[in-house]
Amino acid sequence: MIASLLLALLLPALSAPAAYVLGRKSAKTAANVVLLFSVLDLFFLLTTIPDVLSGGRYTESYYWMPMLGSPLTLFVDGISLSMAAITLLLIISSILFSVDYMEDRKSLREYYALMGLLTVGLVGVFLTSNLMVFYFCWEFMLIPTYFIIGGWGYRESYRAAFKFFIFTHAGAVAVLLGIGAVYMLTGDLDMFQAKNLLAAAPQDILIWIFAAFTLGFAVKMAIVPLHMWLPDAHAEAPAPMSALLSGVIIEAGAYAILRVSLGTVFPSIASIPVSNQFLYALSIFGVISAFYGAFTALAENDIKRIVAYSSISHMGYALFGLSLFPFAEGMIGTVLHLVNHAASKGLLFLNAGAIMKQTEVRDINQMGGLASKMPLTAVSTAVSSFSVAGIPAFACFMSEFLIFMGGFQAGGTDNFYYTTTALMIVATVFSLAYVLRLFWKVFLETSKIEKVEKVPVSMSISMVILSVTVIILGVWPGPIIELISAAVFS
Amino acid sequence: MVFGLEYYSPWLVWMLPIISSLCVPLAAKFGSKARDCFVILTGIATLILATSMISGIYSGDLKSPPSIRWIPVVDIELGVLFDPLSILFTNLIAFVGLVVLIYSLSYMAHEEGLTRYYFFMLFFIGSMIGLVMADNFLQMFIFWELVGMCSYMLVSFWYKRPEAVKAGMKVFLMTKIGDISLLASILVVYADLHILSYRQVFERSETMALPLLTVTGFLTLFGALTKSAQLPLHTWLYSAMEAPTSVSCLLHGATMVKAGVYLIARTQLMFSGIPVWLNSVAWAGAITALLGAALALHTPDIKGVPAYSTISQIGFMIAALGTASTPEALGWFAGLFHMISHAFFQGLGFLAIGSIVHQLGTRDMRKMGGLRNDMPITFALCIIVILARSGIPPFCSFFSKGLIASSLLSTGNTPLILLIYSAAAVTFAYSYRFLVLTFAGEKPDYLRNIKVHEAPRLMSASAGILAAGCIILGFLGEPLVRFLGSSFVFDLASFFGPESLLFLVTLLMGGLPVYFVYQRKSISPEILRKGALSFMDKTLENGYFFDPVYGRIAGRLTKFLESLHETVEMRVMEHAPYLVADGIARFTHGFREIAEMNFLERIPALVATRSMQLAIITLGYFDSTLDKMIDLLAQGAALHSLKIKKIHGGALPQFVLAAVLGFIFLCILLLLTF
Amino acid sequence: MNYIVLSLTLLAVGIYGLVTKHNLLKTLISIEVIAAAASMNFVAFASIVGDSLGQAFLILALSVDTAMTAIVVALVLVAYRELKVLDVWDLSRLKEK
Repeated sequence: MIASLLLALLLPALSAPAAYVLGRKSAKTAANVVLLFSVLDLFFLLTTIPDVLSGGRYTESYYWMPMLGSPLTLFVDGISLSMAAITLLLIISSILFSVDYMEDRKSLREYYALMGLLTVGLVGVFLTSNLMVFYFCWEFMLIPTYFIIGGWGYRESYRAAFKFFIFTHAGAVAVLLGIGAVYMLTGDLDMFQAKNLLAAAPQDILIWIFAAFTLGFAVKMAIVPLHMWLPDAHAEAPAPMSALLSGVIIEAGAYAILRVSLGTVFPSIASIPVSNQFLYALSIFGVISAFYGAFTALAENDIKRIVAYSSISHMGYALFGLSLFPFAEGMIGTVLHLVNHAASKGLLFLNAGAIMKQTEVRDINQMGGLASKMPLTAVSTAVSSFSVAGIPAFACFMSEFLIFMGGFQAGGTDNFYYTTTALMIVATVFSLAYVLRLFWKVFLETSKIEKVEKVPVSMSISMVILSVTVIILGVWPGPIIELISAAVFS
Repeated sequence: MVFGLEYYSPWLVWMLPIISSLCVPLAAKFGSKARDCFVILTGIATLILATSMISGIYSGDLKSPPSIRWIPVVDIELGVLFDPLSILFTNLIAFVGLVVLIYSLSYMAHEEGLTRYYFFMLFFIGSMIGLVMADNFLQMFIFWELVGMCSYMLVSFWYKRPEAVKAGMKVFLMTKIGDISLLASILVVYADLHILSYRQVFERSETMALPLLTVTGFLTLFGALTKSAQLPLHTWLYSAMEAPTSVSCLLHGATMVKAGVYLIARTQLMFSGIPVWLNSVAWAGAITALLGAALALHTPDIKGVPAYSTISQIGFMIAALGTASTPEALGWFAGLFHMISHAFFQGLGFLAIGSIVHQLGTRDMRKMGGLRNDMPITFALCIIVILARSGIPPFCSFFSKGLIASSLLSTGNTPLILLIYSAAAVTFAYSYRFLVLTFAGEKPDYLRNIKVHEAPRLMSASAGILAAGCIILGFLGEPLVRFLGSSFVFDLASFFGPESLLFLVTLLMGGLPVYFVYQRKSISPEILRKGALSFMDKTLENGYFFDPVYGRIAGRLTKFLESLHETVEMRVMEHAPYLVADGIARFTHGFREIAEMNFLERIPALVATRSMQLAIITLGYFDSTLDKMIDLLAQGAALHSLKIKKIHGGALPQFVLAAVLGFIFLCILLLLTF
Repeated sequence: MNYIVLSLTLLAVGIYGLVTKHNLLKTLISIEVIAAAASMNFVAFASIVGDSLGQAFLILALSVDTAMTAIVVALVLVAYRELKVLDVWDLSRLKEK
């Protein structure tokens, strides 16, 4: 379809004022408006699939400011498409979830409008190859998130939102420096053209550019030791927002490393030995994050903080996978892991939200025996947490397996990766440990809580949608992997 | 059998139970009777499918059914292996599965949450069959893990009991440790050879470098040993006894624990070339056999006997496999034959005591006794159990254990032989002890108030099927040999030789002490616990201290994690950003007075302070102490930042003034450039 | 050339108004005047250089200015309703409390 990407980018921008205006009487209308626009958005996005599968990439170019050296290029290839599609799926589920989750809150019109605005930023990051637009969307994501976390969050929400904003904004400054440097060196802001043009640039500068980009994106990914914003932000945000945060926003960081750092800058410095050490560093930090996240999740008692630390752990896996550049299995596995993790973690956060709403308790030590009282939530939590632990037939197993495959293959050329991959495999034991602990404390044994409400309809529908997605991704990942690998091999 | 269906039965035989398990909740909507019928029908269908494949083996018609391209990009396919070993296991799983399902109809009749139970039982049966029918390592691993998950779910079936929940977690986590070892070995193979399917890997395994192959072999071995509850990670099997008895029978007696045996048997082609490997397998098996048997002798728990017995018997199987350097050898067949026998007699052992546990409400054998009058059928079944388990002719394990003993004798390795024979002796001992404690003698006080009645007919009937199997199986040795394509000759006559006599004598030697201690009660068990033997008693009681050690490791780890969390996350990470921010903020105080001043006084004040600043800086420069300079530089930055900060306060006029001044400043700069 | 002088004059007028006036609305008008001065400057230079980029900029700046003014006036209205004062000095002192 013509202009489907432009529509995909701009439709959510329209949804915000539309929701605000139409939602005057009831917040449900606002939600429905945003939902409708998001579904349309997803539809437009999916119409590009035939082009992606056949041609490898689908581009739309719009004449913008010649001064900036490149037109406004929107594109999708398999990787972007998968990420954008899962983003929209998650947004749809979150909004559906919010309809009942937030029903006793105030100013819901603004909430849905902000969600609509957030979609623009989120989808735009994946859809563009122009670095300027990319940066705009990157920063634009922060504003609605800040307000949603602050306005509708829990315990000292503005403080948590503030931490989030400052940390990620500081990281974005590094990114901006990198973009500026790229423009200075090449006069071109398009990712793919810059990749070719940078080959001629002096390599010492390129190393700094790479470092700046990666650092900025790593802050967004919440890699230890830059992760300090994540636990508070995720735990104090309202559950649908946490789902989006963990599922998409931090993964945008990984995607950005793949596209910008590794895709644009790295090929030009690949020949220097220092670049190898950069990859080693990525690998090591991935391992550290994975273990740190898992260990802390084992020690925490607040249900949302446990899930937040689990996200840190999984971003460690993603970073580790990225360090396996350019082995194909590793890259495919990483992108697949981003998609799988988005679905699983989003679902897990929605489940946590459901648990919190129905029992009004956050501390898992005060919960127990909820399996008989909340069967749907229990099954849904089982699906999402087993996926997070990496059990086969659920989403994250195949992606972790592919990453490990890539890791051992990389180990064939360079023994360092054998060690780190082996460490990552050990980390999966700890993932299982905290998942089992969570499930145990919340659902099993006898109940200490008297009053448990029934799960409202919209929340259950959204949880079911995501559970089914997780299972499908686990049992039949073939199509998605086709999509991704078509892009990786190019 | 429908002709067309046979072609697909290797696929259907594991897909059917899995898909049916997903339909169980649906069937349950029509009522519990409908659900039960559905489950049993599925079990029967699976068995039919399994047996239909047997004829395919005999006819030598080994055409492989098609495989599904799952992930084409990395050449991962799902396929099935049409091979005697797989079909053998499949039939065993389907058969015992069906028997246990029938047993569950009666045993679990009064429980709640049965839909969940049947869901996981069917899912387990499907996954287990999928495990053995897989034709590549990845697929097998997927089902390996799924089987572990089913085990967790079923062990924690009574999730309201804290012990059951904790046991489930322990089971899952311990087997997971073995799983990652297996995963690592699969990945190493893939990294070297880039293939995952059995056939191709076995063909090309000679091309792997020996160190790499050794590493792979031992990683696989560790995974197999853990899943089969051998030393050192064997303690989970006893904890898994928190599960309902039918689950214990199916998972931990008959099938899941045999996964390790299957893996060793399957990969023997690949690893038998490694000199150390076979030896390790044999030793691991033999040591576990004896140690497991000793634990079974000591335990007071009625479910502990079959649990530790399983550990010990699998040790026998693995020891036998370790003596076989090719699949044609005696040891390979012996191990697998014993595996089938064990499924029957141990399965029977679990099923028979199911009703005892259910009715008495306790699992402690010391509180039991004299049940033979109230439960005659169960008593008879248990007699069959101990005879079959110990290896008394004509029951099955006489033949299978005899073959194992022969295979070990043929290696000539004396310590190994001694281990196996002692294990066999202790096997008889603990089986006998179990029988005596539970059924013989008088009823103790505890039982006097409980009305004990015989087990329901369905339970006894299903157990009886297994008992029949125990009896007949021994004589099926020859067809089995031909089925497995082994070149070993199974001769019933050879069982009447000196070897068998030696075996029986050993058994008798094992049984005698038990006779005196428990039956005759002429020697009190207490004597055995005192004095020099008390140390052995303590060791056995604590399971050779494996569990306490593991528990302490886990406890220390948890404490460490919590303290790590406290210090690092809560203190350092929380405060670090604030320390930075605080430092910046601290520099910016003290200029309030100037901000408070009136507008007109502000200009001279600003001018005055700026000039004062200039003076201090120049003085410091002349002073030439680096510290002072940096300090003042920082203060200068702070002053400016405070002023600028104040500008962005709510005061419009100050802001306007600053803007205008800035503009003038820029103009001046611009003019200067001309 | 004359237009440049004109724009500088407007700029001076605007700055004077901005710094001196007490009424909030008057300062807003002064800001508008400054904006007009800047736009006019652009056009003047554009006519001297011959490139029409300046005129394009004027159009852009004008539209942005208008939007900005609209929003700012709306804010002032709301503030007035809340705080009942329009004097910049009183407003800035209100913040201290």
